[in-house]
Amino acid sequence: MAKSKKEIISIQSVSKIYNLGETVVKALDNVSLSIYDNDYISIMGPSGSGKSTLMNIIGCLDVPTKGKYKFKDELISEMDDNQLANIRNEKIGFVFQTFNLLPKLNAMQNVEVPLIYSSLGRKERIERAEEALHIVGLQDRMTHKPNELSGGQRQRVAIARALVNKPSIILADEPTGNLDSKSGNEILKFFAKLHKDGNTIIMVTHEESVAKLSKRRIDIFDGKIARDE
Amino acid sequence: MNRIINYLVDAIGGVLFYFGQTKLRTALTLMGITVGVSSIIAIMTVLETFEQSTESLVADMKTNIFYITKDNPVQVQFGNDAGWGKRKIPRITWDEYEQLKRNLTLVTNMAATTTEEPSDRTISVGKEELKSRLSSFWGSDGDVLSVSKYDILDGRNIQDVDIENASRVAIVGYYIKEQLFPYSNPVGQNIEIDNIPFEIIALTEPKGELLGQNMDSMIGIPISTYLKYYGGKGWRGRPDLQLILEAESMDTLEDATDEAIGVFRAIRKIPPGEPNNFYIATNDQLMDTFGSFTSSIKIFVGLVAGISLIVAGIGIANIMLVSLTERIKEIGIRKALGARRVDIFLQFLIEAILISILGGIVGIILGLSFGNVVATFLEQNPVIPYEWVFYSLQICASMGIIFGLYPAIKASKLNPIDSMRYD
Repeated sequence: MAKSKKEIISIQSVSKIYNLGETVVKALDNVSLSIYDNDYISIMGPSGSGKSTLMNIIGCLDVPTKGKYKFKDELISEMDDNQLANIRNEKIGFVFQTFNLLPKLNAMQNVEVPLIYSSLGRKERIERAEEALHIVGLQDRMTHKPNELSGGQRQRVAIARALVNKPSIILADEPTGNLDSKSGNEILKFFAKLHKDGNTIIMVTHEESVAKLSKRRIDIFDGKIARDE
Repeated sequence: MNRIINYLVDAIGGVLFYFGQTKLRTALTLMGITVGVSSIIAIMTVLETFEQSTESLVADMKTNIFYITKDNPVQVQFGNDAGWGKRKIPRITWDEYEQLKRNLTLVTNMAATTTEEPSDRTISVGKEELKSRLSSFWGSDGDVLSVSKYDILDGRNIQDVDIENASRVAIVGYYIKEQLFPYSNPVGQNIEIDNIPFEIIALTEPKGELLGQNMDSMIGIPISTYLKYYGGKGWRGRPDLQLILEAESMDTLEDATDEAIGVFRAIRKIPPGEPNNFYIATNDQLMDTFGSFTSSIKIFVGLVAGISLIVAGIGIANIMLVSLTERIKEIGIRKALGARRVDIFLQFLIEAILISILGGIVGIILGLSFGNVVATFLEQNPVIPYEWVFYSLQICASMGIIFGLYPAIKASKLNPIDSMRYD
């Protein structure tokens, strides 16, 4: 861990409690965590451990029930839906296990989606999307629809989409989970390159081999951080 | 601003793609709007063509004229007159006309006519027969030409001596000359009406068409001749006269009609308090009746179209809700990537508006085509009721907003985490 680096995310005593009628589920229980610039973190844990909840909170898709979440200098835990949407749009690049591309749009248009919500003009949108697809090596597949691309290619489109708004962190949820090992390895190599280029990457995975490639590993168990090294 | 343009482009792309995917469903949804809008536009187009020709009719008609008739002059359009029920209404007779003529002081011109419109009589010159149906065959005394604004191109009008003698003389319209005397002047020649020979005494100037009727397919003869040769047989038995009266000017029209009513009631010995057993109408009143007739059609069409548009609107709400359910995952993804509530709300609302406007445009095109086909069939000039095209688009846009509102709000409130997991 490089403590000298600049702190991007500060999570202090965060709990997330789901009230499901009679039962109360503590998905996260008093978790504190700091994430620094150019970290490459993997978050591990069995299903139901709370790692998805942690991901959702880090990704500003959800707010904690208790505790403070600061992203750079902004207090996320106090934000409303629209403010969260803006943070997601500007600061976070998502990569999902199931790619989550929009099937009706081609690769280029999929990469453009986040830019639609950041009020960019058409010309600039196209330039930025082309640039992002170049980075992931899909400059020849720009007009292909997701169903015309292989799994690995789809995930690369998703990565291009995550990169297109030049986010502060890239949040990847089981990015290799739906890929064969060859494509998976390509994606992981790509993450390593992104990390080397200065990006901050947070990855949720349940595969040891994947976690080993990251620089920092956080294990979640029963809503608590069991290991952070 | 960029954001709005982005939505629009994005939404149009989305709508087009969606249409491509669900052609049948979209087509069925659009059909509701299309039918509603096209019926409005079609009927408004037809009414507009009628209004146009009525306007030219008004311009063509003298405003200082009034009529006394047995039947309500606008009854044709409304069916039987309910008010008078089965009460016997006497025909207007030649005697009554002559008495009226003697007693009226405020009327400058007066004519009694009886008209067959159209007429099935055989018109021939030698062996040559007029192929089409005669639009108008009338008997009248001479003043009819002055009051109904035909001008004589060549020849002379019907004169008192013709009436007295029931002479077999005829005035013919320009169409008759074109058809039966293409290369010669008909004046002075003979024409046979139901095999009875007449001498043509005048040819009138071409008048063209009015309300789909060829005004030049016309033959007129003295009223006495008409009564003598055609009055007792065939067409509705004894003819009933229509009286055309001309006041000196617009200013004296009211007094002249009042006088005519008084004198005619006296002739018929109608006791005070009893209603008239005849109709009296000015050209203005005829136009007003026509106007109220078209506006009642408009109200009726408005109601029918309104109901069909509400049904269509429910269809839009339905398709938007279906579309919403099918696209929960998409909404989740868009929200995760930074779409705010208002973004999703506007995306859905714009789609609903686009769908309704698209349906509206198709409806407008169909309605205009249909309306103008009908107009052409009725021999009217084609028109575009711009006002109604504009209203229709406005109605469609409002429908999109009203019926797209609930689905759009529902979509905007979806939670990104749950929506992304939705399959």
